Amino acid sequence: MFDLLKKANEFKMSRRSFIGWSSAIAATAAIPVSRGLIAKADTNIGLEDSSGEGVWKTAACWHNCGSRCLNKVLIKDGVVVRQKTDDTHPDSPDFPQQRGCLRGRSQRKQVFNADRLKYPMKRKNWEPGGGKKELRGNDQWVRISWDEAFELIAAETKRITEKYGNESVLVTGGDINITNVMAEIGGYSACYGSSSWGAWRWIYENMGVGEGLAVNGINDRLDLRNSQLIVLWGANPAWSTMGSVTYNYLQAKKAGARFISIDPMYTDSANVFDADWVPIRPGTDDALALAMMYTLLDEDDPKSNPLVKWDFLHKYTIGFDREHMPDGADPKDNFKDYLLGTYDGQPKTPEWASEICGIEPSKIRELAREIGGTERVALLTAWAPARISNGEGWVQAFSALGMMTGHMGSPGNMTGVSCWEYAGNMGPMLLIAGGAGTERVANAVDNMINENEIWDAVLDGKFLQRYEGERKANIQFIYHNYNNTLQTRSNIAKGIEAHRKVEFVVTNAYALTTNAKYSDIVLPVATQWETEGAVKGGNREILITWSKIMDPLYESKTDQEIAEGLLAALGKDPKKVFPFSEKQQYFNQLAGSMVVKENGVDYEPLCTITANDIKEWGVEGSPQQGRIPLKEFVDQGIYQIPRKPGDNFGFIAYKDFIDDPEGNPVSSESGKFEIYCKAINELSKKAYSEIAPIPKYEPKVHGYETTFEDWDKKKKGKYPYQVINPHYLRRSHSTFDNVPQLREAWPNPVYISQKDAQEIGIKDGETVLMSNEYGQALRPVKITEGIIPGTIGLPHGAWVDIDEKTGIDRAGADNLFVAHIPKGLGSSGFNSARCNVEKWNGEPLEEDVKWEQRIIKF
Amino acid sequence: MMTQLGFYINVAECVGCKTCTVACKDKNDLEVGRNFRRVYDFEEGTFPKPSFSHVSLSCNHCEKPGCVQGCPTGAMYKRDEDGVVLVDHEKCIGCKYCVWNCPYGAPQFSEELGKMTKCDTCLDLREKGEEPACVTSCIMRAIEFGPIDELRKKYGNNADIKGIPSSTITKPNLIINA
Amino acid sequence: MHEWALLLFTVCLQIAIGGMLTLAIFYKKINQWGEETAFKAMRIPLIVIAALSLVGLIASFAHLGTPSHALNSIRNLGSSWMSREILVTGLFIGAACVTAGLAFVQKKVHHWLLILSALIGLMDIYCMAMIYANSLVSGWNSVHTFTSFYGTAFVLGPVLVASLLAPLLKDKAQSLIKTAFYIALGGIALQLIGVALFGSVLPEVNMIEGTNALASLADYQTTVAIRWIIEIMGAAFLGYLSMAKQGKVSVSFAYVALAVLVFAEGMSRYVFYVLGA
Ligand SMILES: Nc1nc2c(c(=O)[nH]1)N[C@H]1C(S)=C(S)[C@@H](COP(=O)(O)OP(=O)(O)OC[C@H]3O[C@@H](n4cnc5c(=O)[nH]c(N)nc54)[C@H](O)[C@@H]3O)O[C@H]1N2
Ligand SMILES: Nc1nc2c(c(=O)[nH]1)N[C@H]1C(S)=C(S)[C@@H](COP(=O)(O)OP(=O)(O)OC[C@H]3O[C@@H](n4cnc5c(=O)[nH]c(N)nc54)[C@H](O)[C@@H]3O)O[C@H]1N2
Ligand code: SF4
Ligand code: SF4
Ligand code: SF4
Ligand code: SF4
Ligand code: SF4
Ligand SMILES: [Mo]
Repeated sequence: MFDLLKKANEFKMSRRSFIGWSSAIAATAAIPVSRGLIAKADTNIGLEDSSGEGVWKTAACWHNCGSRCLNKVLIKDGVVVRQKTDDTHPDSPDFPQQRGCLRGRSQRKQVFNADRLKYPMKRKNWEPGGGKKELRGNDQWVRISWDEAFELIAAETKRITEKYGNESVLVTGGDINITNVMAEIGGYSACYGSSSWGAWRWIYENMGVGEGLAVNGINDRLDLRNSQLIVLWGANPAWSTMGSVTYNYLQAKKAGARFISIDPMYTDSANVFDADWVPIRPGTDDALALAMMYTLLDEDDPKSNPLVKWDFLHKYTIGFDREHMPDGADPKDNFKDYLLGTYDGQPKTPEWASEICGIEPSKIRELAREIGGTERVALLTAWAPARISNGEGWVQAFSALGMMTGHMGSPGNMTGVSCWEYAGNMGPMLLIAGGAGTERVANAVDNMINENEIWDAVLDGKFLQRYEGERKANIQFIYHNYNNTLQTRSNIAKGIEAHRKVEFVVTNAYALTTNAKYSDIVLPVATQWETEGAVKGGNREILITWSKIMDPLYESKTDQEIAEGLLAALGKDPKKVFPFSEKQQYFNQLAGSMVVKENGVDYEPLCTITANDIKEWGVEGSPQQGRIPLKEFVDQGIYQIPRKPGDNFGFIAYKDFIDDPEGNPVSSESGKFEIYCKAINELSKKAYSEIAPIPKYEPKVHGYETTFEDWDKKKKGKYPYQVINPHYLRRSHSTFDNVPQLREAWPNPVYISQKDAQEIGIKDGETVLMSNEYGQALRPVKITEGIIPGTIGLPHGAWVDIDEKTGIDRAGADNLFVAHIPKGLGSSGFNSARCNVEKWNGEPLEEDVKWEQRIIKF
Repeated sequence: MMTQLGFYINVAECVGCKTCTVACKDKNDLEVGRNFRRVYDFEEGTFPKPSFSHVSLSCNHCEKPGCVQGCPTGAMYKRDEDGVVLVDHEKCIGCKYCVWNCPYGAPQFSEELGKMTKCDTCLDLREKGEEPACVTSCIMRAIEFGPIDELRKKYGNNADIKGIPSSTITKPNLIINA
Repeated sequence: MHEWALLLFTVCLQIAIGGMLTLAIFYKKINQWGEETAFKAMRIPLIVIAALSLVGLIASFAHLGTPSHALNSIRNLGSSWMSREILVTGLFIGAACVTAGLAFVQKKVHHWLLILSALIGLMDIYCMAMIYANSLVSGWNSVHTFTSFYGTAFVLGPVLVASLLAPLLKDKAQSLIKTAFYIALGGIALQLIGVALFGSVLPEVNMIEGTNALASLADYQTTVAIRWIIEIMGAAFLGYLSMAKQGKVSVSFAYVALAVLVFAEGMSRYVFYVLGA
């Protein structure tokens, strides 16, 4: 009998390791072994394992996680058996391996997750026109065929566009596939937002500075080692830029740099860099920066205590004082007089700022002296402090601080955004990926709806067309693709209401994401492991290429196949919109990839391609001479430029401008850094709220001040806590949140200070109810001394899971609490939300790793 | 001559990301609940001067392995050539007694196998001349593996840090840079 | 707590061992009513003791992940208390079965076999306790483990035997019940000593995920309190039975005392295993 048991065990075991299936509920779940589970490796691609165990191929880790690393999978007998990361060259601080993070290493468990969507499906109570619309998010699913799915969507698309016009179709996200379909049949309403950048998004060019992605604002990583003081102003690479960035910063520390972290949370970056933590209230960085600049002015003495770099201000900026104002501007509006309070009667003293930002006046002065008095300083901010409402003043103030202290444009000196894939390492890309060749179809509808207004636009029928004026809208069809808009944009509850109002909602997805959950028809999409391949940049020194690991799982189709199917059903020619096969597009990217030459200036093709390669690939193209053979690049999956100090690839931001301001003007109207920026002020008058031309403090919608009922008496109001949404290591936004082993590694609590916890009367691990006027959610608390009292850290991106009876979310979705109020030029207030927190006396929450997965049972 | 192997953990440079835990999970195909390498998080100090430490631990292939001593079957054994502590699945009865005798939570019971499992120093990778998966995964390069004598020469002898049981219990082949 | 199998195993064996010890003590007294009466009286307790030890054996198998390899478990007698315990448990079960079997074949109970089995049993309890006392679990590595294990045997063994004998021996049983009551009181006293020493001898926490035993038990205060109330009620009832005027209450009610005390000891053991989480 025991032998029998043993056999059963072995059987279960081999089934599970066979596909590497991931499921919270152990390995016993019945898993049909369909053809798709077999990794159909193109055996020509990849490298043999050293002991002949199988073939290693580079597999996509394609998410918007703020990094790009090398992830490889071992394919053995057609099965993905395990993963590894970069071992293509020996590791060193100058030439580091591109090591993947825990999410990359869980990619296998995401792709083979038990909750993968298998078949096209429709909502049981859906019918053309919407059916029981209120059941969206709460209905049963019915399996349908692809033919039926395409026909249903095409018929509804035609009906809706004929009845309400193409404006009534809202396509979210920028992915080219569905947008091209809708553009081809007459256009669609689009939406836009400041998602990552916050207030940097639309003002940097006018000021003449970089925003950290399109335009470089900081020096490269090797130059970071020249800084004596590195200020991380709202940046936590240890969580939000996995891969090599924290390691790069560590080299600067080893080279002698001191660190300061100005952040509401004591971060793991601050911890590992031994930083001086300056806890600050969210959304009050502008007040701090202004008071630091006041101190600099106040204490500056060109001879005995030169804190302000007057030469820098005079030569490279406009608007600092009344002598340097642009033509036509009121001299009284200069920045210096604002700081001194000459006309508004309020000097921006450390005492003034302290009441707002929560930092002692003496500490503010100390910071100013340190930053002003140290020769080589890196002032680095991520986008987070600007992902607030009314955040433009902060962007202006931060930039002005760098200018006033002259920490720009020379070795070891930099002031700018250090975030996302370019954190701690900017400069021209040393490698550039080739284009796929597919073109965007022009959109005949020019509606651009701000992301903070989309749900209102749906419900109230109007929105502000930015820089133009109010427009009517009658959105009746929402198509989501390659984003999770309902989850990742402000006010989820309102979003759900909007979804339950329109006539039709469709989502392409590979798991039942929030978008998909509230849809009528869901089309199962293949992941990037199931598509031909791509070339992707990451940090400036690398180019990664991944290729297909297996055929699409179950009945899923690639994004392009879905778009093509829809076009055909809509009576259009797919070949016209997508002239190239996916393989050809992959090849185009490889062929077009460029690498910098030794001189650091010129570029050459990366891949050498022979006529034989082209024949083998079965694509169109012409042979070319490049740096390495095509096969070598594809087999290795990465090309990385070795770096060393003093090489030709270093970068100092704004150096051209500093060397020759007239010859190399910056992007502003005047060609100089504009501390007084007229253009921003002008633009804002036609947008959501007026932005001053100079850095000015403005209370934020739902900012610190609004947590009080009576500010003067300091009496707290209904929503006494501020909420921030740190990007969280369990996931990339909402992606990966469904992977059990990541749930295990990173539970999903709310971070709350010891002091607040005591006041509320809760112990570590207990459940609290968070609430504000928009939503309610339960969460276990993680009590810490590492967060400023009064602020709650609610990790970004948990999959909303609302109990229809109580209206309470049990997952802790951040955007339940974020107000949908666009400000300035249209930025979102993610990090400026507020709420109440109370002890939950109902059933305590169970860890979410133990929750049932969203598995559709057919 | 036996060369005892062991781990060096640079706690001072670890960010607590748990990539090592997950890399090990992937390498060994471990389900939720079973982790050959675990990262323990500790917080000290008070606002505004807190400090964190994250301690990444697997099995320390100890000098005085309580797991081996208590194991009724001899399944848990310390092998001669490099002092690595392994479980012989031919012998193990799955009594879980080793769990109660290891200070570090290293033995991880497999419900599926009905047997004890644990870190084997990635023997198969090492046979191919590679490093253990956790070592090559760490984004901060905070884990090293090798002959413990050599590591101790480089990094000293400390194997204690607040929150971790005393190294006197089992004499772990572990070095901690606190 | 998920160590149900071990709970069942330890309690069953400890009752069996305590029962065997009680029979050995009662032997003389019962034998004075003749060998045949003695056999008739003792056969049920002997069967129950053998059966209990077999139930314990089965429970111990249920604890194992790979029971088919169980024979391996005595391969490390050199250093493993678990190995030793398994061997001695095996011997006790063997002895108990032989004692019972032989009695049935010969229609006669051998006193020396009872004594031998009981001695092996007492050794077994020592080994059992050593397993836990040698572990790193806070609260187990203490003298309390010994007092608790022997205590269970001394409380439940006599009560089991007494309640099984009572219906057969009727009024003759009252003096046995009295003896049983005193032994049980001794068992309870032993446990109380262990409890008193528990807090004072706790070493530091030796396991990374372990907590101090007192902290682990913080949530179980009520359970512990209820256990003692029930235990004392059971003992009091037993005391009443042993003293009550003849004929007033049937001594067969000893079953009730048994049931109540088994429940209390079970709760006690439950809390014990909470420590190991
Ligand atoms: N409250 C709050 N909200 C925020 C933020 C915050 O800090 N706080 N951060 C904001 C920021 S910075 C950003 S960038 C946004 C991100 O917002 P989103 O882009 O909406 O976030 P993701 O969760 O990454 O969504 C990607 C979706 O695409 C799906 N997907 C992945 N691969 C494919 C594919 O190949 N094909 C298709 N069709 N789908 C695919 C994934 O399953 C996932 O559902 O969120 C913003 N929202
Ligand atoms: N793990 C993980 N990493 C990611 C992502 C993810 O979803 N998960 N998303 C990626 C994307 S698309 C983006 S855009 C980037 C964004 O990356 P960041 O802009 O760096 O965003 P966060 O990581 O949320 O916040 C960074 C730090 O800012 C602090 N902070 C928040 N509000 C304020 C404030 O008002 N003032 C100050 N001074 N500090 C504040 C937070 O406490 C945190 O320590 O992250 C990328 N990296
Ligand atoms: S940091 Fe991003 S790209 Fe790198 S492994 Fe993690 S999820 Fe993948
Ligand atoms: S991977 Fe490295 S940095 Fe991350 S938790 Fe493990 S040891 Fe620490
Ligand atoms: S760490 Fe634990 S399991 Fe590993 S050898 Fe030491 S005592 Fe045994
Ligand atoms: S579970 Fe296996 S390895 Fe552990 S003590 Fe029991 S027999 Fe030994
Ligand atoms: S050596 Fe291998 S088995 Fe051990 S912890 Fe590291 S990855 Fe896991
Ligand atoms: Mo972003």
